Amino acid sequence: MTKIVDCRGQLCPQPLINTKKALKETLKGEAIQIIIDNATSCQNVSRFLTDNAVPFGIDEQNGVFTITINSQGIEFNPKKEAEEYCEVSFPGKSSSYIIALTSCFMGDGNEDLGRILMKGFLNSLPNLEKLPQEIICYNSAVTLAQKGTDTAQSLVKLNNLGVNITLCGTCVDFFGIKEEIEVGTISNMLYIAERLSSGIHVVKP
Amino acid sequence: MNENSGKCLLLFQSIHRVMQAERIISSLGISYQIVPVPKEFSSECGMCIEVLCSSNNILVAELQRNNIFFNKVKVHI
Repeated sequence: MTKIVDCRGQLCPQPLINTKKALKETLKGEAIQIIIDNATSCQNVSRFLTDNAVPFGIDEQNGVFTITINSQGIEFNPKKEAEEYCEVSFPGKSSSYIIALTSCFMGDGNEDLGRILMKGFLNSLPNLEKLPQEIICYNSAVTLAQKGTDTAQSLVKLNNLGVNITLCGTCVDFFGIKEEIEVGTISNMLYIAERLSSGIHVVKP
Repeated sequence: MNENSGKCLLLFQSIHRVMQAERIISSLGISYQIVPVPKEFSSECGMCIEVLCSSNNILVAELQRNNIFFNKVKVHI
């Protein structure tokens, strides 16, 4: 008997959640077919199954992917939550996380040290396997994008690699640097609040 | 490729030295970047300074005058 899990029209993480649910509910010897109609969700489900050592096969026809799993009949306990495999598709090395820079220093404590750590941090990012989708700067972090600073050059480099740079408009106004911004899109608190609460991973160095 | 072409990393003994060196390099108007020490190099400090190798002569003299010692490594791309 084959259990059909039709995920057509569903966006991540729903196909992952449905796959996990099916694996937990299916009896030994039963087959599961997961039907997905977008490549990104198919990749995410494939990674989820591979990481959890679940054998499967994929068949693709006209953009519809059918993932076939033969149930192991043992209790399925995923290593990580299925939702954690939800990566959305972005060009290049981008991944599904945002970096929130809350000041021009990295960490609390000594400001000179914090300033140099921030420079090192920004210059480390291009070497990462997965780049952030976006860097959101607020409070004094907006000064990192100011013309003539080496941090602005680092942000330009990241922007050229496909990382969106977002600056808090209120903060740019507060520091009086609107005319001196080298890189980044000036945005408002509603946008920032939406992005930070969207469920995507937020990294605050 | 001669030794003055390309980029060089300056490795220091501590972050304090990196910070002192940064102030000096910045005051000389030399282009630089603070970067993490690559994994293949050993350093007591996690940060180093990347400069154009061609700026070494001025730099070395000024850093030595301030008793800041460093190791220089050429970056191979």
